[in-house]
Amino acid sequence: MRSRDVARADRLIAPLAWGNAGLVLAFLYLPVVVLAVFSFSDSRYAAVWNGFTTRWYGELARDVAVGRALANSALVAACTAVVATVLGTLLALGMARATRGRAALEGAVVAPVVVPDVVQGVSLLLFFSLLFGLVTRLTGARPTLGLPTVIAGHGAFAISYVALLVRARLAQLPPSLEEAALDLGATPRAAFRRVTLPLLGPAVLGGALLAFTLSFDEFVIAFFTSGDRAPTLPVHVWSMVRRGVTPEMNALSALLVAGSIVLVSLSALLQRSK
Amino acid sequence: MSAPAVELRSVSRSRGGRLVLDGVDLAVAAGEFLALLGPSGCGKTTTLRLVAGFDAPDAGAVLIDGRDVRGVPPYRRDVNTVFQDYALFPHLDVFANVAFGLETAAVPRAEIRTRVDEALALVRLEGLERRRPSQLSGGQQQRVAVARALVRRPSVLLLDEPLGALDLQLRRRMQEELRALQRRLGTTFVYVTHDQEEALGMADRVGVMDAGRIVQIGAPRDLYARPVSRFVAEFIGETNLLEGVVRAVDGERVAVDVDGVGAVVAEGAAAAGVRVALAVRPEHVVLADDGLPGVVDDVVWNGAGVRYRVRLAAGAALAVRDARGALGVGAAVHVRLPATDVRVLAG
Amino acid sequence: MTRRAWPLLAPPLVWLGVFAFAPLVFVLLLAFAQRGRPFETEFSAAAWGRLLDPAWLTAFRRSAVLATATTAICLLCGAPLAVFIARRPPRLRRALYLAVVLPLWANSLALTYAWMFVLRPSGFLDQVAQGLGLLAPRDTFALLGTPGAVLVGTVYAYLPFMVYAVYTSAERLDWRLVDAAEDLGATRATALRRVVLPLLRPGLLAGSILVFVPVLGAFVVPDLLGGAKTAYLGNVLRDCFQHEPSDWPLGCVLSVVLLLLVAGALRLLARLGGGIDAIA
Repeated sequence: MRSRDVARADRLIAPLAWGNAGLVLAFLYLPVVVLAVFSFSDSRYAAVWNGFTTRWYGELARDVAVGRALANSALVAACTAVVATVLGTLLALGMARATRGRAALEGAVVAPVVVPDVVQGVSLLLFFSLLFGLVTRLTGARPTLGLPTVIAGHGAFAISYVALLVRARLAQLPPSLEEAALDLGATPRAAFRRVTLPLLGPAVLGGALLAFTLSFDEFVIAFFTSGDRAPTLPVHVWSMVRRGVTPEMNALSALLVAGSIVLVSLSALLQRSK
Repeated sequence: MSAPAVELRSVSRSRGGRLVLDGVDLAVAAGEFLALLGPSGCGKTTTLRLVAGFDAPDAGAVLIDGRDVRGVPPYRRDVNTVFQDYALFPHLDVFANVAFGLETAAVPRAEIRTRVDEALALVRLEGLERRRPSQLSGGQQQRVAVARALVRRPSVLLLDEPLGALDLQLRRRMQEELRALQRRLGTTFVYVTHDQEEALGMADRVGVMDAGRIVQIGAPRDLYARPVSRFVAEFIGETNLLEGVVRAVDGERVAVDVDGVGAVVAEGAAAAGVRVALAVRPEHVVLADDGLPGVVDDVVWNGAGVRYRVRLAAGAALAVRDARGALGVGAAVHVRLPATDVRVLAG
Repeated sequence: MTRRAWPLLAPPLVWLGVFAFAPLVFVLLLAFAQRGRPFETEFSAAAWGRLLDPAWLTAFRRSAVLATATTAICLLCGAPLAVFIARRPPRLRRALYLAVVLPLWANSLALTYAWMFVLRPSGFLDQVAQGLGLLAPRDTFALLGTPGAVLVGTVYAYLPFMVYAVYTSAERLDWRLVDAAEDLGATRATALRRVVLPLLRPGLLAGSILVFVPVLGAFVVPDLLGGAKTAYLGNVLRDCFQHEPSDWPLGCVLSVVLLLLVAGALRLLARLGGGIDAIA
C-alpha cells in the first residue's frame, strides 16, 4: 500500500521534484560549504585557494573582542533560557486553567512571535531610553543599555515560544491523568508534582533549549538593546561583517554554522533515541 | 438498615446553559452492582463525576456512606474510579501505577508491596510489574486500571465505560471477570455504560438515563419485561412498537384497537378512548395456526435463531423471533400477541 | 477544588506586559509626538504626513516588491520540495527534513555573510566564472549591492520557513485521497488542484506569512547584500533610531504601519482558513 502511494505521488509531482530538491539543497548548502572550505585557505584574498592553514582559527581564538562577545551571548542566552522556561511554563499552565479571557491570552502569547523583530527592537530601545531618562531625572542615576536589557527583550519573545511548546504538550495530556491522581488520594499539588510535571518534562527541557538557541543567535533585538559596551556575539559579528569579507570572519561564520549543525543533529538524535 | 453506599438527592447540574442532570434521585445499596445505562449525553458520566468529586452539583446533595460530601475534594473521598481511557500514568510502570494510591495514603513500604501484589494477582497480572502502560495490551491496561482503583479498598468503585475501548471478545471476558470480582470483594460498583447487553448482563440493578433523568430503574428482568416508556422499550432490547386507541378497560388489562393490526389485549393502565403506545418483544410474538393473518416479508438468520418480518394483512409489520426458522419469504402465517407480553407504555 | 489561574499567569504576563506590550504602546504614543521632543510637546500627527515622503515611499515599494518576490519564489521552490520530502520513506524523510530546516537554527548573519563571500567582486562566483572562461580575468559580475543579491539573500534566509510550514501540512495529508480522487475519475492535474492543494492550503498560507512578514521589515540582508545605496523599509526604520539626528516620530509611524500590515496579513490568513496554529 505504502509503496504504491509513493509511486503514485512520484508520478503526480513529476520527476521535476527530484531536480527541485537537488537544486534547493545545493542552493542552501553550497555557499556555506564553500565558505567553510576557504576558511582554511592561506590567503588574505579570501576566495583564492593558497594552501591549507588553520591560522585564521588561531587568530579568532586570540581575538579578545570575539571572546568577550561570546561570553556575553552565553550569559544572555542562559539567563533568557531560565527566565523563559520558568515564565513560559507558568503561562502555559495558567492558560490551561483560565476560564475567562482565553482569546486575549492567546493573543498575548502569539503576539511576540508575529511582531517583526525590528519593531520589537526599536520599541524596546524607545522604552528603555524613556525609562532611563525618567530614572535619571528622578534619582540622578544613569542606567544604560546592556546585557540586562537584552535579556528583558529576549525573555519577552522566548516566553512565547516556550509557552507554545509546553501548551502543545499539555494539550496532548488527557485531563483524566490529573483526575486519576486526585482520585487516588493525591492533593492537587502532589498530582501536579508527581504526574503533570514529569510528563511535561521533555517539553519544558525542549523549551529551555529552544530559548537558549533563539537568544544566542538573535541579532535584531540585541542590536537595539545591547548598547555600545557589551555586544552579544551576533552584534559583534555584525560590526565585523560590515567591514567586509575577511579570512577571520570566514572562520567565525564557518564555526557558527558548524556549531548549530552539531547542536541540532545532537538534539535530533537525542529525540529519536527516546 | 444501613445507609446507602451512594445516594443522590434531587441532584441537578447544568453546563453552558444546558441541563445535564435534572433532579436525579438515586440510592445504591452497599455491595450492590448498579449500572447506569443511556445514550451519550444522557448525563451518566456526569453522575459518576459528581460522586467522584470532579464536578459539583448546582442543586441537591451527594452522599457517600450516608455523609454529605459537599466540598469534599476527590482525594478525600472513599471512592475510586476506573476511567474510560484508563488514565494510567505513562511515566510509571505497572507497579508504580498501582502503588500510587497507597503512597498518597502513606501506607508503609512493606504493606504497599504486599497489597500491590494482591491487587495484581486479583486481576491476574502477576509478573508484569515492571512494564510501562504503553507495553501492555488494551485488556492488560484495563486490568491495571481496575487493580489501581481497587488496591485502595474503596467503599465504592466507579467505572466509566471501562470496557468501551476493547473488542467484542475481550469485552465479554472482562465482563465476566469484573462481575466475578465484584461478587468476591463485595465492593459497591457504579458502572456507566451505553451498552445495554453489558448493563443487563452484569448489574444487579440498571438505571436507564435519558436527557439528564433516570427514567426507569430496576432489575434487568423487570426493565426488559416491563419498560415504562417508549424510550426504555426501544433502548433495551429489540421491540415492536404499536399504537392504537383504548377501546375498553378491565382492571390491569386494556383492549386496544391497534393501527394496522386489529384488536389487541395488553397489560397496563390507560383510560378508554385514549391513544396509547404498546410494546411487544419479537420473541413474544407467537407463530400459530390461527390469529392475525400475515405474510413473511423478510428472513434474517443469526445463528441462534431467525428473525422474520411479518407483514400483517391489516397493514402493520412485526418483527418475530423464532428458534426454528423453517419459513421462507412469502410464507403465509398467523401470529398471536399474548396479553401478558404486550405492555402499555407511558410515553 | 478551586484552581486559580492568576497566580500562574501573573509573573509571565507582567514580563510580557512590561517588555513586549508597554514598548509597543510607547511606539503608538510617540507616533503622535513632535520630532526630537518625545514628552515635552503636545501631540501632533505631523509624522504621519511624512508617509507621503518619496524617499520613504520608495523604500516601502522596494520592500513590498522584495517580500512579494521572495514569497513567490519560496512558494514555487519550497512547497514542491516540502511535498516531495513528505512522500519519501521515513528514514530519508527525516534526513531531508532535517537538512532543509537546519539553517533555521544557524546564525543568520553567518549565512548571509556566506553570500557576501560568494557574490562580492572577485569573490567565489567571479573566480569560478573566470576559471571557466565565462568571465574575463579581473572582470566581475558586480552582483553584490544589487536588488538581485538582496532577493537571493532573503530567499536563502526564509526558504526553510516555507518548507517547514508546508511540510507540516503535507505530513498530515492522507495521500490515499489522491487515489480516491483518481478512482473517482479525476485526472492527476485535477486531483492536485481539487484535493492536494486545498488540503495543503493552511501550510501554504502559514508559510507565506512566515516569509512575507519578516522580509517586509528585514534590514540585515538588505544592508549586507544590497549596500548602502538602496534603502528598504527595515533600513529606514532602523536609521530613524540609530542615526543622528534620530527621528523617533517617523520611526514610530513606520513601526505602526508595519504592525498594521502584519495584522492585515494575519487577518487575511484567518479569513482564508489558515492560522498560525496550522504550523504550531
